[in-house]
Amino acid sequence: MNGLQTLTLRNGLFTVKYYQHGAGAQLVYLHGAGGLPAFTPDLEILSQHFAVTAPLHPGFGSTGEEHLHADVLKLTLHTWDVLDRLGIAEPILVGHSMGGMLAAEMAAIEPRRVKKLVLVGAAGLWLDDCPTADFFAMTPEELVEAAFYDPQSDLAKAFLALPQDKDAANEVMIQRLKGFAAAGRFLWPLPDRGLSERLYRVKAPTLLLWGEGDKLIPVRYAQAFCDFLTSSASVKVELIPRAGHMVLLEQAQAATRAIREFCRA
Amino acid sequence: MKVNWFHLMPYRWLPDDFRERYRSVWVDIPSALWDSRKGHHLYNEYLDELEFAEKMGVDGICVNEHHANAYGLMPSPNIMAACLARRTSRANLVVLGDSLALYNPPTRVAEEFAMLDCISGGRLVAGFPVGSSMDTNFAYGEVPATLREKYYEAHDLIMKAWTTPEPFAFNGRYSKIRYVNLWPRPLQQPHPPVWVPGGGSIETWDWVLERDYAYCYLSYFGYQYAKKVMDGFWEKVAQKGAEPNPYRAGFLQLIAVSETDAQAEKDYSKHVDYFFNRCLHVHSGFADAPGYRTEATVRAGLQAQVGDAADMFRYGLSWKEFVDRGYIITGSPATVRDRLAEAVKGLRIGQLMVLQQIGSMPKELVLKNTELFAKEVMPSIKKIWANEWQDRWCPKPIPERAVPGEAVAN
Repeated sequence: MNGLQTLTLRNGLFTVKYYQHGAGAQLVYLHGAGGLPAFTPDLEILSQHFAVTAPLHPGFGSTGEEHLHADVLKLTLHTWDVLDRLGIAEPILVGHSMGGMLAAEMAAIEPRRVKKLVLVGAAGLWLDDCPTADFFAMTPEELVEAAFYDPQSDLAKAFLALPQDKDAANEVMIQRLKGFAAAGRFLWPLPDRGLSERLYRVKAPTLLLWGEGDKLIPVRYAQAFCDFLTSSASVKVELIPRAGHMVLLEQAQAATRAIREFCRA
Repeated sequence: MKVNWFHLMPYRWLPDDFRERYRSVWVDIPSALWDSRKGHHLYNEYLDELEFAEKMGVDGICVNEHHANAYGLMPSPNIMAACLARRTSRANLVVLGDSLALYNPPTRVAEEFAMLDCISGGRLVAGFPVGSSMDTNFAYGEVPATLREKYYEAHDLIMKAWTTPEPFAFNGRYSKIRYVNLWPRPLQQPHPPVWVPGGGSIETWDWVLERDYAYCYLSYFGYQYAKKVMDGFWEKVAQKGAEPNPYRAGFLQLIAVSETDAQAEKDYSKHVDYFFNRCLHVHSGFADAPGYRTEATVRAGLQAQVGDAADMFRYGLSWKEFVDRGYIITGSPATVRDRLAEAVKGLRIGQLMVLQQIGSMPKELVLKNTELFAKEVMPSIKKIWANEWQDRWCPKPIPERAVPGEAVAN
């Protein structure tokens, strides 16, 4: 089933919502700061080939973010706790944006457990001469402009759409705000919590998958990850044309094909 | 009623097309717009104005903290208060205040406030703001979601430092110190009165009331807009069974007095326009970092004071609208007296903060505004509440105070 399921951890300190769907090798998808309001088409495609598990991070429908403070180690251990509870021993980790940062942290702290690592437009590094965009300071319109390759596309417009009902619209905005607030714990004021000094520990073969036109976390960051991933069994960069930061949604077929081929190799 | 004369210290030379050319007066306004020679004179004029207000008989003079902000040129309110401590002798020094989470370690606040209290002979009001999102999150890099927790911890450390007469260890999440040991200690015992300025975060009210601190609502949008917030505060006071003493509540009001209502418009209109349309021109993305306001406050529908929502309150407004909506109380002394009395009674506040240097207002107008207010308006305003309630939130200076310069005078 691809509806949301629930588990609790540490005597109810955390309530974790997660999607689980498909069969095959265990693939864990870690979403970005925009959250994961549905089992999106890219995950549908992946679930035809993998047993996909997609937990919601605390603050994004799951609870307990206050216990993480602003400590990325706590988020990393928490997410391993979730996978332990679900009996997922050696997953393929796919992380997008902030989820990419988290996947890389998980692979650095438990290098022997990660079978393959896929970082999609991943956060976690900072280059002075190529700053990531400050999406926290953007208006919704500016954010869509920066996140999508084609801000005029239906996909991008759907991102801005709110329910007609005022209370429902309010609730959507409050949930978005909560998600961004939770993301700020790990990305504010810069998305650098020292990951670059830990990436040398990663052993898994790693795919750096980027939308060629990523305006939030430019393609330069794929190269920066390569530079720091000195112990990975292999590192491959793949750029998807006609895609921005939301590459998995914008080019779901091409992006998921790249992930499948990388996992098969 | 206590009357406290509040300064923001705005930069007065933002260009006429500022709003078109720059997206924000705060956070990312280029400092190339700043002229240090003008700044030299500006700081000295502004400090003169605060000293003048003391001479005019106000109860307190107020400074505050802002960062990367062209309308608030006091990154360090304590430096301003130190200047004033030696040049004034009677008025309370209301530092509103130090944004606790921005001081590392927060013992710095305990130390500097203790210094100010000792130098001034016990005239200090210790203001403990959380600080705006622009100041704390954007300009100082504090994580929005943990800011309040860090603030509360800083508060606990400062209070313990003020009230513990021997060294102690402090093992906090945000500060870890083996030896906290306060030299000097504050003159007022057990500590200076604490005022907490807020922009309308509802959990602040519980926290303030539980500690019996004063709460100050600092808004630029006047008493009509403040009604909703202050009604909420007094409701909370009643709920908690606290004494409904007006002196536990403060409020900031823009005030501009002239000889007549018509003359007030002539004198002040363009400066008020500068304030609302240049000084408060803030990029909406900076208004309210995600996580800065708690979910409860967001759900209560209390809006940020700058940014898109707040813009609707002021863009394109005329003088008459600024006046009618109560953003500014202005006119002849009689007009101001009436409206101000109605406002402070309606809000039930006992600590009035008056903003009389507004926007680009030059010194001569500030002095005129202040003198007319002090002589023609303040005496009747001060009588409000005076016989019914006791102000438990004012400083208690020692009677025999040092006279600056006396030691080396011939």
